[in-house]
This record gives sequence, structure tokens and C-alpha cells, in this order.
Amino acid sequence: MVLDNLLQTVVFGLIEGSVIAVGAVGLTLSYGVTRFINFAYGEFLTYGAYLTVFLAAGLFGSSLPLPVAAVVAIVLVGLLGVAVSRVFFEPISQRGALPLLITSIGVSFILRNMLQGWVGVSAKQLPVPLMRRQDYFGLVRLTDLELGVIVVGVVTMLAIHLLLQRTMLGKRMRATSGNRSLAEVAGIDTTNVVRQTWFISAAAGALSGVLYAVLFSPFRPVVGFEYLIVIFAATLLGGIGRPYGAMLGALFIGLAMNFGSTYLSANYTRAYAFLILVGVLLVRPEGIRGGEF
Amino acid sequence: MADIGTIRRFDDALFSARGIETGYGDLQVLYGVDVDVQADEIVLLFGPNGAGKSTLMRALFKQLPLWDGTIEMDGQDFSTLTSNEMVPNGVAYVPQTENVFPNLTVGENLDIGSIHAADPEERRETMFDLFPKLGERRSQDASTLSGGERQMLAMARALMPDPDLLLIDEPSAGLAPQLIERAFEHVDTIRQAGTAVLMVEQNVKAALEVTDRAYALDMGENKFEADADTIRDSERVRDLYLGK
Repeated sequence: MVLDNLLQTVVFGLIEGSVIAVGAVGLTLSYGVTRFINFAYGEFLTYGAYLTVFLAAGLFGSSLPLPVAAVVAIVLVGLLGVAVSRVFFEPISQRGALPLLITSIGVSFILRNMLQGWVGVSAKQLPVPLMRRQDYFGLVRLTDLELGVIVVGVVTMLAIHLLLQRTMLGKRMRATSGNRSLAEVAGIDTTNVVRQTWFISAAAGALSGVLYAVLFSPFRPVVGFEYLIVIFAATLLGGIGRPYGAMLGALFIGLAMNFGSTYLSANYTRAYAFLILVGVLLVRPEGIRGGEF
Repeated sequence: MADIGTIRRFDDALFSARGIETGYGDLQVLYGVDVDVQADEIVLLFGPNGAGKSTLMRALFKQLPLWDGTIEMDGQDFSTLTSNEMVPNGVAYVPQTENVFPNLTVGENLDIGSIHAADPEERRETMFDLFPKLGERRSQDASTLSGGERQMLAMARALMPDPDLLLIDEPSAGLAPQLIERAFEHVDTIRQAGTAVLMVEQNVKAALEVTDRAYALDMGENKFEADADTIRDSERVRDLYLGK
């Protein structure tokens, strides 16, 4: 019984860790090449979830099957990320991290309130079926959707790993992250690499938002902004700008949130993430200084 | 042979920079510098600290905006190219510091160099022949290399596209004395393989061993230009720049 409970908590931690990991990797990739923390990142989660709902409900014409709607939404948010960077971030990219960071806070307000003005503050939810948890090995129980979230999380991490290690785009991204000026010298069009990174970052954010919506419907236009703190905690714990660190940080935060909820109090789920965030800044402040990937 | 004191113009030069002016912010550093590099030449830039040598290299490679002046190669105007467009146009540059990607392996550093290479595999083999140490360390992160190995990797990365002209800022910087001669031998090998070289070097005496011509800069202006032999034999230069 005690063991069952423990294992079940670990599994819940892994499920949420998958959602966080996808989000944290996206955030950390954009930091890695642009060197500023994008506070508008949470809106990519929100837009991912909302666009998926709308596309699935047929708001833009014919209603799409949920997975197709999700993929289309993710691509659209990726393009939104590129647009946001071109309009807001590229023009001031030479001014240093602080103006960019503050601009991103402004961008987050704009995106969030635009959405709110459009759809209102009432909660929406994805058309996902209610599912019964199934027994696995007589030890843990989870729904097909929860299993699906873990699978999508693992596949995404593998895809990011292969992108960074095996593809020329990944190497260009890493080179730009390691030393942008040398990357230019070596003949890399780093402006283009940054745009491609924005696409990947925003798309990962959208995917994280969709996974979140699948697990924790219903949601409101502040969903991504509120979840950003959890993603920050994971990102900083792993050292911002380091994708593999973000993955590990996400697992840790996911587990901590669920262990806290199960064994301490379920009222403070996000507070556990916040506590770790504060702890990281106190004990290991170099986490926020970040590195390259 | 021209006297020391005049700046010769080479109208058939591979690479010509004329009247280069640039600086940082409001601070002007270069006041109209001329440099020519002919095909297959090794040209040295020297002068006291603060003369603007590294600034000139950065300006030539578009790491700094040109305030005035023109840059031409093979009769083509390069003045408006951006830094990353220099490489596909046959010019490569090795900065003095932070000239390798520390977070990439040796092999991956060369992959980045191969972006504009016509035959990456052949070039990679050529580089490993020239710098066998790099072949041994190809799967190691560049951050784990010694200073000398880094300098080799930086040169190899820049040479991957087989450029017509290589700009090197201080090939001997940070090297142990016994490695300095090797660095200049490498520069000579590079030239023999068909790449002209323009280098900045503090270690003028050692650099002159492989150099064909040299320019002295001072206070952001051309001081003089001459063949390497002339400079080696000149008492005035020896007193001013070579010491001892």
C-alpha cells in the first residue's frame, strides 16, 4: 500500500514532469541563443491550448480531429513566436538582456489581453474523453491520455536531442549559443538561426500548453502565464540555456510537486515549484546566469 | 625595392582595402588605412599596442561597421557584405581570442567550418593531415583543448571552406615559446596550399621569417609598408618595433 502510493506519486510526477520538460526545453533554447529570459513564453502555452480548442471546435471552418488541431496550433504558435521576435525583439536585440526582458513582459501582457478580449475570461476545455485509469503491472494506474503525455514528452526530448546533436541546424544553434559573434565569422547567418530557434521554442511552448490542457482542463487565458513559474523553476534548476539541464530540472520539479501534494498538502502544488525556484536562486544563483548548449 | 616610408599600391592585388575608417561608438580608431594583399602572399600587420591592428582586422571582416573606405576582392566590392557573407566569398578570419566554439567538439567545430565548403570530407582530411592532433581529439569538446590545440582548431575551422584569403589575429598569442615557430610554419603551409594570409602579430621577429610584406600601423594610420627583407634589415624598424 505504501509502495503503491509511492510509485503512483512517482508516475504522476513523471506525467507532469513531461509537460514541464517540453515547456522548459523550449524556454531554455530561446535563452541559449538570445541570452534573455522571455517572459512572454507562457503565452505560447496559452495560445497553443486555445488554438487547439478552436481548431477542434471548428471555429475557423471545419472542425479538425484533436491531434490534427494540436499539430496545426503548434505550427501556428511557432510562426507567432517568429513574428513576435521580429516585431518586438530583433529591433532592440543590440541593447542587452534587460530591455529585452522587460519588453517580453510587455509582449506577454499584449498577447494575454488580446486573447482575453477575444475569448473572455471564461474557462475552455479540450474535447478529450473522460477515461478510466488502467492498471499497469498491478502497481500503478494511469489513463491512456496520461500515458500518451509521457510518450509525447519522451519523444519530444529525443527529437530535441537529435536536432541538437545530429542536424546541421542543431549545430548552428549550438554554435550561435556558444559564441554568436564567432558564429557570424564562421559564415552562419545567425539572424536566421535565431528565427528558427524562436519557431522551435514557441512551438515547444504550444505543445506544452496542449499537454497541460489535456491533463488539467479546463483552463483560462492566464493558464500559461501562471504555469510559467513552474517552467522557470525547472529551467533555472537545470541552468538556463542548457536543454539537458532543463529536462532533468523538469523531472525533479514534476516529482517534487506531486510528492508535496501527496505527502504534505495538495493546496500548495505550485508553491513547491516556487520554493525550489527560490532555493535555486539562494543556493545556486549561477543557475540564472546560464550557459550554452 | 621601395623605400621604407611610402605605401605602395598594388593595383592587381587579390584584396584591397582603401581608406578604412572605423571605431567603437564615438571613438574613432582608424583614420584611413590602406592594405593590399596579393595572391599567395603572407602580409604582416604590426605596430605598437593601440595602433588599431585588431580593429583593422575586425573592420575588414565586417565585425565593425565601415565609417569610410572600400574593400575589394578580385575586383568585386565587398564593402557592403555582412560578416557571415565574407566566408562564401572566399575570406576567412581567425579572431585573437574566443576563436573556437567551446561547447562543440573538435569535429563539430569543423562541421561549422564546412557550411560553405565545396567538399567537406576532403577538407576535413586535409585539416587532420595538417594538424594531426585535431584528428586524435575530434570527439573531444573544444573547451578541453590546450591553448596551442585551440589555435590549430581555430585555423582549421577557418580553412575548411578553402578560402582565398585568411585573416589571422595573432597566431602566436598565448602559445608556449617552442610552439610559436610551429604556428608560423603552419601559416606558411597554408600559403603554399594557395591561401593568401594577412596576419596581425606582436612577435614581429618570428613572423617576419615567413612574411613577404609588412605594414606598420601607428595611431590608426599607415606608418610604412615594405618587403619583409627590407624591414628585417632596417635599423629604424629594429629600434622602433623589434627591440634589442
